[in-house]
Amino acid sequence: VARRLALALAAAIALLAGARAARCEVSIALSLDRGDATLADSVVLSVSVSGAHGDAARPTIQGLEDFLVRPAGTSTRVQIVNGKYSAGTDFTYVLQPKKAGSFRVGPAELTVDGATYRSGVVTLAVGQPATSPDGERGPVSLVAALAPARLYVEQQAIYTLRLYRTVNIADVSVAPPEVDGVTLAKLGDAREYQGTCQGRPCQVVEVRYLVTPQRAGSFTLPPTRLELTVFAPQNRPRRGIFDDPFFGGMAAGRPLTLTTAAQPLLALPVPQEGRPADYGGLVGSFTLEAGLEPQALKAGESATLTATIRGRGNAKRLPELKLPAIDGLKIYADQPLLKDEADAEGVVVSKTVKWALVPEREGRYAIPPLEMSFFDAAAGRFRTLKTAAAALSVSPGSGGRASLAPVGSAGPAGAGAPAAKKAIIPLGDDILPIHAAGGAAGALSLPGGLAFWLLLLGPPAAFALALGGTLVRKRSGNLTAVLDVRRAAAALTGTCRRPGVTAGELLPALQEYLSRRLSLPGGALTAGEAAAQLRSRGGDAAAVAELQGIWRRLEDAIYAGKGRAAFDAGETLARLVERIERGLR
Amino acid sequence: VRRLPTLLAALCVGVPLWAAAQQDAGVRQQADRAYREGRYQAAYDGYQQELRTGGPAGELLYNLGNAAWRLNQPGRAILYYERARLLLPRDADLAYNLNHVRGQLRDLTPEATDFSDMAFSWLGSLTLAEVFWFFAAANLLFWSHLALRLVTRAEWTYSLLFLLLALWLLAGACFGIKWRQVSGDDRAVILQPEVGVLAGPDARDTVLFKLHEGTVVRRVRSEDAWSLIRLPDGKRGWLRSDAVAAIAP
Repeated sequence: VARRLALALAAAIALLAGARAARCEVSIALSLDRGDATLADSVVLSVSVSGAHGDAARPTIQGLEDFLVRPAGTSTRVQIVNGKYSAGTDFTYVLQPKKAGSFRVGPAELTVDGATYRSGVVTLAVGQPATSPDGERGPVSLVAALAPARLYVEQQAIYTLRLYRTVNIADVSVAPPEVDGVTLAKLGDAREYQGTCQGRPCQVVEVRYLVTPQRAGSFTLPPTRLELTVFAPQNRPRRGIFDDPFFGGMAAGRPLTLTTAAQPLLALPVPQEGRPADYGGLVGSFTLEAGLEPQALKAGESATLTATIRGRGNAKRLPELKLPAIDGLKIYADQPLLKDEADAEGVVVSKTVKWALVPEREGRYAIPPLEMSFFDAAAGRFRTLKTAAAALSVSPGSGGRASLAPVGSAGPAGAGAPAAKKAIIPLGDDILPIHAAGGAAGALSLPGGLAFWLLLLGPPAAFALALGGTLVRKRSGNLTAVLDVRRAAAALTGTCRRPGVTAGELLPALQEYLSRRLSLPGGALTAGEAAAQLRSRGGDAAAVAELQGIWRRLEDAIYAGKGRAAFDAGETLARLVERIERGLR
Repeated sequence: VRRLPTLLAALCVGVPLWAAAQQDAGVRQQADRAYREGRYQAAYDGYQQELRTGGPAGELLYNLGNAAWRLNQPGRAILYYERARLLLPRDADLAYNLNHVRGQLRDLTPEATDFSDMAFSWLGSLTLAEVFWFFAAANLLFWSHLALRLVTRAEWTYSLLFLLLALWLLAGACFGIKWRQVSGDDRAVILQPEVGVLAGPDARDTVLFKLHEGTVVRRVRSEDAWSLIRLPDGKRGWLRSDAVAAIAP
């Protein structure tokens, strides 16, 4: 058995040595999944390394300067074919060309044990992608549109991205263009609908952005880049339920990056000619409406004048509508209500202002029209909107001259119409100043080192010490009592063994001993009570009975006037005490 | 004559201490004056020097944040404001300035907090030292009362014992959570105007996304000159360690 074991061990060592030798045969190969591509395509680069493992097998690859490189996985393989062992690692990368042209990819290099191994070089031709939305498209394509491309400063344009697809996709991420001087804001969520691609139905995903130039000039919106994973349909017969289109997400995904064409944008300045005096920079298309309700009331009652600006344009430039003071009317302005709602065409903004009008006396009050100006970008000229003049008819109030004011107003009596309350409008934005030296009280600080632990552990430690002291004191009290008993027993036995000891000497010594032993007052103790106590505490019953008898004999001797005569049972009493002590311990 | 050595020793110790205190006060006042006169770099350097010599850290960090903002360094402004907030959590000026600077940053990152942080969010308005002293007081009261009960077992001591026990447990839990919040604070601030976050700790790795100055990230770990960071929305990646600075000193 030992011989067979030795042979098997030798064979295993030889096999391992062979495998080791095989592992040292390092080779490296590089390949692309295709030889030509467009800028919109991604290419899979595979590097196969044999004879090396782990990080030592990771090669460096030359010729990738003109590509965006994304690692797409690493796999290790081990093979034993016809007794020949081979192992290696395959590295996969996805390349996205940055520009068109012909490129040489490789060689991949690997250094193992001081020796450098190189792969071959492959060539990749990269052409321009087809960008026409109506032209021939692949299974996934991306198209961008900007309308209008010629507009005025702060006029709004719509930048639309449409993704056409006939295959399943996932992990979509889009990076909208960024241009200095132009702001882009996403309009709502992405919409998905059924479209047509070369006469075939396809899915369309649409995202819109609101584009607003902040200054005049000629701009170019750079290409939008969209990254996604495409699940290509499998061209092989179905082999199981996971080949069903329902499980399309389980097919092998391929990373893909799509780019759109750059979009030119010309921003014109708002002209100076014909600019109204009250123009505040509003650009777009707006309407202005106003209404007074009710138009007839009594003095002291309140009417409401409501004005609404509505339209598409730069909301931050919406003007503040002003209602001049009117003699005989108290005017209270309400907080303006601003709203904006995004739709497919852009953002619809509205601003509603309300005034409470309280006539002080009867009469007919003319409410002047409200005005505002804006630049009509579509028509290319300024417009001034004006509401119709209104009139408020006031009949006499029930209480004569009215002095009503809204609840909460606190104007001084007789000061006329109070100024209408307005929202506080920030005029600037800045940080608050520094804190000067000595201006702040000292803050609490965390104690360091010993003080920290003392504060945490000191109180429980002090309590533990106090508790320990209490226990020790209690225990020492018990010990004292035990020593007292022993001293009393020793004194009693000593007295018993003294030659010529009398009953008058023995009885007080016996009572003293028993009072100590039983922790009872000695004067009140009788022989019967002492015997009962000793028995209840585990004393030897026979010895106790004998002790009780001697006690009675001692009492008899004393009562018979023989208390000063020598007592003959001294030694017996001493031995009884010793027996009782042993029993009680 | 006998008191002469004592007097000399007192002078030897006291005079340098007094001189150092005067010098510190002078540096702080000079830095304050430089800030008011618009010499922000001088103010920044002065506050840094004062901070190294052990001045009141919260106020100095706040002023440093102001000076950094004036020097157009939003990353350092956020860094010093956040450090100051650890010491001055209820300072209204600090909260205002921090919000102002945050509003000027380019990156929008959502705040993510775990359950214990949400449940004990009010602890954010207290410093670790304040929570510690609260616990130290509760600790002293509780154990003193237990010791008192060794002497007397009056009825009122029994009721008070439960009250103090509840207070002690609450204070201990607060201190433990605050300690965890402070010691586990892995936030860091981006200090460079724009930094690419890579897929690995190598300059040749793929750029996953870009971050801009002042953005607060979480530093998971560091390897050599690289730090692995994560964002509240789950994004992760590597960047050079000199591009970020930890908020917790």
